[in-house]
Amino acid sequence: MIPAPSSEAVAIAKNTRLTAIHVIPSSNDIPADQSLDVKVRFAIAGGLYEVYNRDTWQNAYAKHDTTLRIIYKVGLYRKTTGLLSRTIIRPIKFVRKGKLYWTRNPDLTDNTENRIWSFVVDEEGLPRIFDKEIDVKNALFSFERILTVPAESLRTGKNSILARVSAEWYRHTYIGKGNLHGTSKPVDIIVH
Amino acid sequence: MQIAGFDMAVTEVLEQKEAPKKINVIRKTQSICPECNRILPAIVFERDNKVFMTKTCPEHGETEELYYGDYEMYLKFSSYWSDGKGTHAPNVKLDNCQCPANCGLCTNHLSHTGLANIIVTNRCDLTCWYCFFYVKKGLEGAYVYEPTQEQIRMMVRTLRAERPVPGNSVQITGGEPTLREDLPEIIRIIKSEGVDHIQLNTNGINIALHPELAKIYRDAGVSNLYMSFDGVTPKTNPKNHWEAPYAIEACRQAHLGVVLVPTVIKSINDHELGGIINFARQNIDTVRAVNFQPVSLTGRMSKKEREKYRITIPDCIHRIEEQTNGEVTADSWFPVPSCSPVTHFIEAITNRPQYELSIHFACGAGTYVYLDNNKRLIPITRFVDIKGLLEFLDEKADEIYSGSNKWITLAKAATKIMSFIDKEKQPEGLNMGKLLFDALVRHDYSAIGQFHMKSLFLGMMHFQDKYNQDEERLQRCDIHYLTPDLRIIPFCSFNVIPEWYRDRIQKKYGIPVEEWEKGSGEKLEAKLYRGDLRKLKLGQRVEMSCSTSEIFQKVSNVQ
Repeated sequence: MIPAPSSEAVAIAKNTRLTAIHVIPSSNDIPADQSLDVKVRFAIAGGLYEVYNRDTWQNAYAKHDTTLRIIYKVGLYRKTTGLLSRTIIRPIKFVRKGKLYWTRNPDLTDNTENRIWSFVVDEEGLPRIFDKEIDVKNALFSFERILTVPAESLRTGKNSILARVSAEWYRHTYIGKGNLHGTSKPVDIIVH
Repeated sequence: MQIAGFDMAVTEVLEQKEAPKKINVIRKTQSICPECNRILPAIVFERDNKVFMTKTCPEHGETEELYYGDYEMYLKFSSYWSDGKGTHAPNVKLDNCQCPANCGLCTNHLSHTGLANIIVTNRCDLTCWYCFFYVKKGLEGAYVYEPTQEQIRMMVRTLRAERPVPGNSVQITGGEPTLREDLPEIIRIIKSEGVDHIQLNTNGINIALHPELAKIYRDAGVSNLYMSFDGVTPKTNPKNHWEAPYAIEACRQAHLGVVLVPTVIKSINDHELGGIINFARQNIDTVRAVNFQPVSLTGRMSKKEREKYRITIPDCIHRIEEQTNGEVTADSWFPVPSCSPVTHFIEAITNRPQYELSIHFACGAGTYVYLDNNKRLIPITRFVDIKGLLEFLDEKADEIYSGSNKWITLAKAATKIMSFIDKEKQPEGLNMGKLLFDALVRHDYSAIGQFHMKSLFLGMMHFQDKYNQDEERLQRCDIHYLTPDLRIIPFCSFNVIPEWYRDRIQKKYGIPVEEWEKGSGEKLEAKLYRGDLRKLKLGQRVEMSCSTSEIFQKVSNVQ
């Protein structure tokens, strides 16, 4: 059982934030019968990003707290009137995991004080092993996906598209449970 | 030249091969020199969709070895990597040993004992050419090793004192354990110390000759036989081709389950893996599992010889797909540590440490298969979304650890579990939903046993050798040996470096063959099996006798 989070861990969760959410369409001007690729990009920054480091890995591993699961959800919407919007892609769940393990990589461990490393299992289920801490963090906390909007989801004329995203994680020895939400600025697409 | 900052001699080797661009470094680890046991840095890399290990000893040069025969499968399996809770063995207090020295278990070790081997004798009634275990008369320093009953009791107590999870599964092994006449008493001793699961590793010949032994062993406490079975023809399985059907029939009569254990050697028997599964299918009322063991290459072998015999888990899995005509597909298999989410979920519910199979993903794999009405094999993945179910259980465990009410979570999970099962594709008569519910909610030994009883488990376990030895695998090994000096030694130390472990221990606690012969009043070779059973009836051509017998026909049904 993971102990109740310390006040410090709760504060770390509160200090975690999402960066700006970018929505980048493959084109701003498309014919009516063409689908549209939309890249959504954002990252987790602040508390969790900072605390997920080698010292934390050592301590967490010692308490058998070995997997950080980040659940990203990303949906695309078309603005209608005022604050209202219509769903064009329902929120899709993407799970990434940071897994701690005792490495035998001679470059990374002395097998006494520094022996725990993290690899990442991405949303496709593929393991990714890096030699640098910053690469581990980027693989876990920087999100970028291309979503394909079917042609019938857009109407002729101007469409204002925006993304709503969330990132969620559970309680760990180093951070309290957290859930972040964010919305991108709308991007205009002309369908003719 | 450096690869990812790794400037070992391997860079020279890569340059010599003039194809560095084709090499994809996957990870770095430590290994040993197959000549001198020196601990070496090692690189695990991909080339031509296969995974290799390379290491360079300053004295003995480079060793490159096939590590995993399919890179895609390696990637899939490695995503299930899950380190265990660690373990504390009661009698070894060493900290931070330099693996693989001083095994016993030290605080470096990451998996508690999943299966504890107790060697009750190193005598055997066979003399198989590839076996490294049995005592060979005439060799210098040949010792008969047979721990006393009291030593065995103390070994089991050591196992039971392991924390946080006391060992609960023992394999009695040898040599050939049935050569010990006090074996039933040994079984009772192990059982009386609180061990739930006892399996008897045997070639089955004694049981074939004396069928009453099956019931005697079962009544004493054996859960199942773990029986060598290397192929379905006399050529691939000279060991017990003619005798295995009689042993199985004896077990059938005694209601004792059997696990078939083929040692798989490339170019020798790798073309009969489908046939072995077929044999198990014909005897599914008694055969509970087939556990394939890709060969561990012992002794000094040239690279050419190793390439001739070396086979890895993915190679076996692909051959099984081919040889079962696609009934057991490659994507039916999962690595052993993929069970961890089940453990995590049960731990979250019970709030206490549970038995966990946290071995390295490259060590073992498995799947369950069921029979449909046409006697076709249906892998569990055909009607259960295993990947989704495992992900779901892991997430539910996280929810409980994060403060969600466990009973509400459990109730929701029990309902949701059904959505991972495709009832249309489920074999008739099977209620997988109930089986999963019992296993996950009741989570006791009998529920797990029931899960096994309704299926045929297909497993793989690839024990290491000095050529492919990986410290990251060794550190996570959960198949251990109990020894009279009351240590608990990982299999891949005990057998990979026998000069440090197995041979040394057997010499210390054994007696010279000559002394044993004098004390016992019999010659070591007197217990060698001379093929009596296969000559039993007609006494003519060796193949004629058993092959015409009713039991052989009924049980083997081979052409």
